[in-house]
Amino acid sequence: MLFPFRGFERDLSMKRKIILNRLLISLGTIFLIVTISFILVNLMPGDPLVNIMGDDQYYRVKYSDPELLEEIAKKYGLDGSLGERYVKYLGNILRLDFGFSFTRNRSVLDIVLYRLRWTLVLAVPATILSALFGALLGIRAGWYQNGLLDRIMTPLTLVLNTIPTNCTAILFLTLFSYKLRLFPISGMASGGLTGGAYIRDVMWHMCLPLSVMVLSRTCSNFIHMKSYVIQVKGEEYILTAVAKGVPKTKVLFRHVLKNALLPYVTILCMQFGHIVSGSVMIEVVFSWVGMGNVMNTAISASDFPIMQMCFLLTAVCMVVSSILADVLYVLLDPRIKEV
Amino acid sequence: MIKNIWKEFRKNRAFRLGVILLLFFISMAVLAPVIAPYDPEALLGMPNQRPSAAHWLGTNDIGQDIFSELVYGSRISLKVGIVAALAVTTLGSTIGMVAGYYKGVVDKVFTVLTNVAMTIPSLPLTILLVGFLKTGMLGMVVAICITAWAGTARVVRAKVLQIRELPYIQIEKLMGVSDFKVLFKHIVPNIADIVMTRCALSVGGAMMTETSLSFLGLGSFTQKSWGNILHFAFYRNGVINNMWWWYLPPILCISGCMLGFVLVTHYGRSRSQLIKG
Repeated sequence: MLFPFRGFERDLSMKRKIILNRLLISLGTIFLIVTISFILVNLMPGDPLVNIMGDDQYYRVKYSDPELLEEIAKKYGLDGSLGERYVKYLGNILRLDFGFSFTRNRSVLDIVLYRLRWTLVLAVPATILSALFGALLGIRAGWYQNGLLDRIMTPLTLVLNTIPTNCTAILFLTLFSYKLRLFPISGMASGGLTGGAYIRDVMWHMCLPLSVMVLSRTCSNFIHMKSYVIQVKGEEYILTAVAKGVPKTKVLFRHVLKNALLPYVTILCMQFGHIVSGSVMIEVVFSWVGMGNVMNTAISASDFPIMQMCFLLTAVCMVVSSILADVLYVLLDPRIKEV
Repeated sequence: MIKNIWKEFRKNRAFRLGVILLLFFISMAVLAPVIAPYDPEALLGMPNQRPSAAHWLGTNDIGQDIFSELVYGSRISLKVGIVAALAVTTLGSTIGMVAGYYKGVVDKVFTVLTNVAMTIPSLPLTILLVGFLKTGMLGMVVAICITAWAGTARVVRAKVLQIRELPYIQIEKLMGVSDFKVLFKHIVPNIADIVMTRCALSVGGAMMTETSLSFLGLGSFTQKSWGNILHFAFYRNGVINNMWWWYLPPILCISGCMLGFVLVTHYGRSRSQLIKG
C-alpha cells in the first residue's frame, strides 16, 4: 500500500482494456448476427424470391410475366451474385435501409419503429417495477431466511415460474376481463379520446398486460436476488462484521447489499435486452399491437423484410444490453482486474 | 444408482413430488391409447359441448373430444421436449467438455461462441428462427437447439476445468492414456449428474418453448400438442366464451409437467444441505 495511486491507475487502465476487449467482441457479434440474418433469407433452398413472395404468387408471376420477376428481384436487391448482394445488403443496413414490407407496402423501418413505441410503453414500466419488487422481496426473504415471507414466496415463485406467460395471460384475461369485467378485453385504447383522457384510457388498457409481465419477471428477479443475498450472507467477512458487533441493519446495507446488488444489476441489464420483443406472448393474448404482434403476423404472412428487421433489432438489443452489463460489472466491481 | 434414487425419493420432498408428477405425465403419454376414450382426430358430432359423462372435458369447435386430445397431446409435447433436450444437452456438453479439457485456443474460441450464444437465446429469436426455418416439428427442434445449448456448455466447461486438474487425471495423461479414453472413462462419469440435471431443465425449457410456438400457430398442425390445443381454444373463441374445460386443462398439464422437471433437478439437494450443516 505504499503507492496506492499507482495501483489505482494500473487498475483503471486494466479495466479500460477489459472494456475495450468486450466492445470488440460485441461488435464482432453484431456483424455475425447481420450475416446470419443474410444467410437465413438468401441461402435457404430455392430462389429467395419464393420465400419473399410466397409460392403461389411466385409461380403465377413467373409464368405470366418473367420480366416483372426480374424487376421485383431488383427492387429487393436480389439481382447479381451472392457476394455482390451481401455487400449491398451491408451497405443498406449501415444506412438503416431495411427495405419494404411485402404485405403492407410501407418502409419496414416505419412500421417497426411505430410498433416499437407501443412495446416500450408496456415493457419499460414492467421492467422497472419488477426490478423493484423483485429486489425488495428478495432481499427480505434472503435476509430472514426461512422466515414467513421466504416460506410463502419461495414455493409460490417456483410454481409461478413454471407457468408459461401466455397461460398466465389467458388466466388473467378470463378472470379479470370476462368474469369480473374490471378491465377491457383487448387493444390499447378506445377511440376518440385526446389529452389526459387518452392517457388515462391507455393506462387502463395497460393494467392487465402490465401486471402479467410484472408478475412473471418479479418471480425470476426474486429468486435471483434471494440467492445472491444468501450467498453473500455466508461469506466470512459478514461473519466478521457481525462478530465485531456491527448493527444488523448496517451489516445489511453496508456489506450484504453492496455485494449482492452487483450481480443483480447485471441481470437487470440483461433484461433490457428482452425489452424489444420479450413480450410477444402477452402482446398476442391482449392484442397489444407492438413488436411481438408485428413479428407474429409477419411470420404467418412470410413477410421476410419485417422478420429480418425484428431479428436484427432483437439480437442487437441483446448484444448491447449484455455489453452494458459487462461494462457496468467491470466498472462497479473493484475486484476485477483480469481479462 | 437406483438405490440412491430411492433413498432420495424417501428423504427429499421436492424430488418426490417431481418424480410423481413426471411419472403421471409419462404414463399418460405411454398409455394414451388405453386412457383416451376416443380417437383425438375423430369428429364426434356436436361441437362445443360442455363436459359430460360421455365427454369428460367436452368437445372442441369441430367436435373432437378434448380429453382424448389432451391425453394424446402429452405424447407430442413430451416428444418435442425430450428430443430437443437430448439434442441441446449433447451439443452443449460436447462443446463444454472439449473446451474445458483442451483449454488454450479451442477453449477461447468456444468461450467466445458460448458468450455470443448466451446473448442470443430467448423466445423471440426462436420464434423468428422457426419462421425462417419453416414451421413444424423439425424446425422447432432445430431452433430450440440453436438457441439453448450455451447454458449447458458453460456449466459443463466449468466442471471439466476443475476435474482435469485432479491428480488422477493428470497422472493418466502423463502415463499416455489417450484423450478419448480419459474423457469418456473418467470425466464423463464425473459430470454425469450435472449433465442429467441440465437435461431435465432443458426438457422443461424446450416444452415451454414448444408450448409458446404452438400457441402462436408455429407448431405442426398435424400433430396436436398441449400448446396446439391452447392455440385453438384461444383463436376459436374458447377463451372468449369462457369454456374453462377447453383452455384450463392444457395450461394445468403444461405447468404440472414443467414443475415436475424443475423439481426433479432438486435431486441431491437435501444431501448437500446436510453436508453444509
